[in-house]
Amino acid sequence: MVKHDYQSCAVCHVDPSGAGQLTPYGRAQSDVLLRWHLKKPTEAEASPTSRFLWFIDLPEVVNLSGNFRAGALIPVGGQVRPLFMAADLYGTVKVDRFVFHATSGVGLRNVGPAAILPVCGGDTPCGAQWVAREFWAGATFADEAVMVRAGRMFIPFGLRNNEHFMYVRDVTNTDTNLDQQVGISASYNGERLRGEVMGLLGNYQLGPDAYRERGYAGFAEYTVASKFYLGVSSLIAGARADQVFQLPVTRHAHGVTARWSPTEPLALLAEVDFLAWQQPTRLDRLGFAALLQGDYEVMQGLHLVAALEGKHEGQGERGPSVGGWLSAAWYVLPHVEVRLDGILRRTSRPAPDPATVAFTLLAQLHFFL
Amino acid sequence: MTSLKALLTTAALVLAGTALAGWTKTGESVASFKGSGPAGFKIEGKTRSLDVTDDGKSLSVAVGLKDLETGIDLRDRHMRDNYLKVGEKGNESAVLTVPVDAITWPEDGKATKGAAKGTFALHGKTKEVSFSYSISNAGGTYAISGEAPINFNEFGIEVPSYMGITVKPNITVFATFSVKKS
Repeated sequence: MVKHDYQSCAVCHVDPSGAGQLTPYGRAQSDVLLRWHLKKPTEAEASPTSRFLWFIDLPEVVNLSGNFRAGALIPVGGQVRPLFMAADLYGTVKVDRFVFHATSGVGLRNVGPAAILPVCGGDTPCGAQWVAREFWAGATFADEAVMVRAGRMFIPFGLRNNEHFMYVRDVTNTDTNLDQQVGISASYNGERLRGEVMGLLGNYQLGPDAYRERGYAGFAEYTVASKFYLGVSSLIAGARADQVFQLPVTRHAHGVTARWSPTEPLALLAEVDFLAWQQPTRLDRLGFAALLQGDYEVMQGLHLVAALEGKHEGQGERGPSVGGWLSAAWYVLPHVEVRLDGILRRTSRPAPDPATVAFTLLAQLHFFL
Repeated sequence: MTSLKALLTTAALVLAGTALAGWTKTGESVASFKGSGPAGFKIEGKTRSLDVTDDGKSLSVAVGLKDLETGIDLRDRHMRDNYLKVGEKGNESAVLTVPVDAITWPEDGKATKGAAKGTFALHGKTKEVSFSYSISNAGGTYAISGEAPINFNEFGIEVPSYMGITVKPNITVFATFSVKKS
């Protein structure tokens, strides 16, 4: 949406800082601006199929939608691994200035931080689990420019990019897939400035309490010029124990972001984060994560995306890990995205282990109802 | 007697020439507007369709609304057809008319800034508006930029609303162009 000079995420997303469920306006914009059309539409409105489940009109106070993503991970020379990435329903009720939002779904494998039941891990294998990524209540003020929320939310830090396991999201624990936390937040969406700050109270779907992080996260982004936005992010969070060494840990992430559309079909995203981890009896670790991504819209609804990324986690790796992505995303039908990512990564490991190089194809089919 | 007649004739021609001295637009021009809505929503429209006319006392800056674009085709159609009703007679353009002597015109090589009042005609209604301007004079070509806050409720334009997003009626209109006195 940078290409269309939408700095504010709050008009199109229920979360005022973006990602997740769309508002009715966002749903219409998705159909008008993002979907592939064989011919340029001439009708005066968004397609009727842009509604919930393609054709259902909902009362104004209720917003329902869903997110289903599945695919396959195809490592070169390895075994194809089917992926069941997300199967969530979203619900939002908005009454006057008050907003209530919750998601509920099913997850398979690697959904631990967002899973509620059944408890698994250790000797109990993880099968299907009930997943609740977000549940929060909020109130808006100042003509919806300000929103105050409490509950389980996305962590306000960095770019809200879709590729949740890119280094910048992974090592800062700020992806929108599994890294939500419980907290209290205040967000602002003005004409030139937007931002959010959140007091982190921990992930209560993770136990025992010693593992839960407390601290803060926040970002602010300013419109420097039309379609050019610069931002800063900061996060400091500490837990009484990390899951590897069982030692208290405080982690820092502080970074800058940029979003820029220099010409209409092209959008550039960049993020650089400084990282630090402090633990008693261990040397502080310093690291970084960086991303540069370009999204070229070949025609409306068909995106070619290239990205370069790097990271160092300060664990004695010999040089940084680096990666390159080449992706195609096609919003082929109302509510349907087909996506293919080619990911080449050189992963550095602590000495004496050698770095590894792997190329993986990730094919996805995504329904957003 | 003959020479007096010639002198009077010459003087009359000079005076008439001064009274009819026209302002003509020169070079590129752009007119735009900025509006806003809830939760940081903003909208900007732009067109290069701008013309300048004068009647010897006032300058009129007319902005064609047919080609006004906001970057989203559907929104443009809504704006032109549902709200500005550009297809109806008298709604084709927005016109700011300003008395020439209400403006402080800078000398060659200099620039001025100021504020003045004029009349703004839009959507079949005409209202007095205040505006600010800046002008620079380079060899008799005046580069002008101006802006004026307007409330489109005052011009009988329905408040645009789409899928729960309602645009605030207070917008700012801008114009940048150059004129030359012929």
